Amino acid sequence: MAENSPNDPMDSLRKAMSDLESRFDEMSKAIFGTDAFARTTGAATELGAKVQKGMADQMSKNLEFFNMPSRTDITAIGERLMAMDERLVRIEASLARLAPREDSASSGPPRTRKPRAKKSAKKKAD
Amino acid sequence: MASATQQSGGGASGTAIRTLVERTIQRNIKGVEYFASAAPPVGLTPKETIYRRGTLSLYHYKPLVDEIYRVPILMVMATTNRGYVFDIAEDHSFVRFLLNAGYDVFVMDWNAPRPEEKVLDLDSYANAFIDECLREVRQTTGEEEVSLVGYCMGGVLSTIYTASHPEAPIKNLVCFTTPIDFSQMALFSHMSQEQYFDVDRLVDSVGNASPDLLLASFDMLRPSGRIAAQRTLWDNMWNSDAVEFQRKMERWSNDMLPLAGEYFRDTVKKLMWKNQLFDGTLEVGGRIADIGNITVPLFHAVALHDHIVPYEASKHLVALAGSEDKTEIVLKGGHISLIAGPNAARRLWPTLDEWLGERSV
Repeated sequence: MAENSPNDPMDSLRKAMSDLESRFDEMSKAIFGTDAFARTTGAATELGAKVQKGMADQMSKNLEFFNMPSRTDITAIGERLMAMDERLVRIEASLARLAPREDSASSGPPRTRKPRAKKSAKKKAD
Repeated sequence: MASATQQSGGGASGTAIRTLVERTIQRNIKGVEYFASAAPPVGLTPKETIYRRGTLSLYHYKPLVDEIYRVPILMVMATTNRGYVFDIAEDHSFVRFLLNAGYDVFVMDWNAPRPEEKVLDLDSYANAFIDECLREVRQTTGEEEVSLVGYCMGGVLSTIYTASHPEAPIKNLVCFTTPIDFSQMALFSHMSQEQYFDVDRLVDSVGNASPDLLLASFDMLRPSGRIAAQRTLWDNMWNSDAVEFQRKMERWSNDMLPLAGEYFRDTVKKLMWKNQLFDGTLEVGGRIADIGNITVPLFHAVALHDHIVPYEASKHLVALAGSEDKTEIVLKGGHISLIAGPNAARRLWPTLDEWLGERSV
């Protein structure tokens, strides 16, 4: 993006940093590519999901105690709304098939554009 | 002669040192501005949201020229990120380039799926959403045919749709950095191995896949990426344009979206574990997505230095497609710089315009 002039005293530093980063990437990828790392990450992700689920369950119990809707309740309402939304989409699609919208013919610019002649073709014509 | 060379060498060194000092001063001044200013605006090209359903938004951009091509374009954004990468800055906007070149542009963009949208699966994204958007585009434009343009996973969705709907009114299929052979997505494939990664437990426990999980996975592909970005930022701090563009790209790359639970499960099981898109056995919504069924003109642009979707993973799209008119181009650049930024404006955009223009009449 930014142009650097030749003889820039920072160039050698830039190159050294870039080499260092490349080596760091290669080294890291070698570690990430081991089975042990994949196993550990998998276990950590699973543990995180378990903790999150445990906390959500506990919070749900607390909210129930205070007679308040939990995330599950709100999600259930959302799911019902989504089902209604989907039915609306299907109804709309059926209606569009039966009676296309009046504004369907585009009122924008004319759709008559043609591609520019290719440079080589132009040269030949010249 | 020798003394003249010495003099010119001395002059060049003097200029270089003066530039270095000036830039250092500018870095300090602009560095303060950088930390004090708000996030730069993105996605400013005028548009209208013509359809919205939960996680999906369909935009129609206002034409910028007096005469446009007959066939409209429907762009499908990758499901992990926001669509404003297509319109990141006025002078680096892919959408604006296409509008000025005479295309009627529609973009399928994604919002963070709500918890109840965890039920959306690959069928919802690759069939239902694209189908609905195609219907909207056809109704809005009055045109029967549409060119489908997909980026990364948006390309996968577009490919699945075109492969499984041979009767659909797709005029052209354009894909950018689209993975087909998921076994070649080295680190993703390794980390999500069936014996180590329990996708069922994750989705059943938390619903939608967290963007943090996805961001960490992308970071692991280039661990020094963030440090390198900061170094480049400091290096270019004297240059306001470079800083603004980098801030916009950083904002975009950090603005990751969660993935709908069932969609994530399908992606991991059907694409990563079983590699069904490559094998031609992928079944989505009761239809088989066999890439060999694609017969429309196909254009696939891949990046030479793509660290997310390597060429080994993406090269099969053109090879497997049944189209007679098919083109693959390999351009210099990375996964993002292929489609956005000054390199894209120089390389990909004009190449695509040349290919697509004559197929959009």
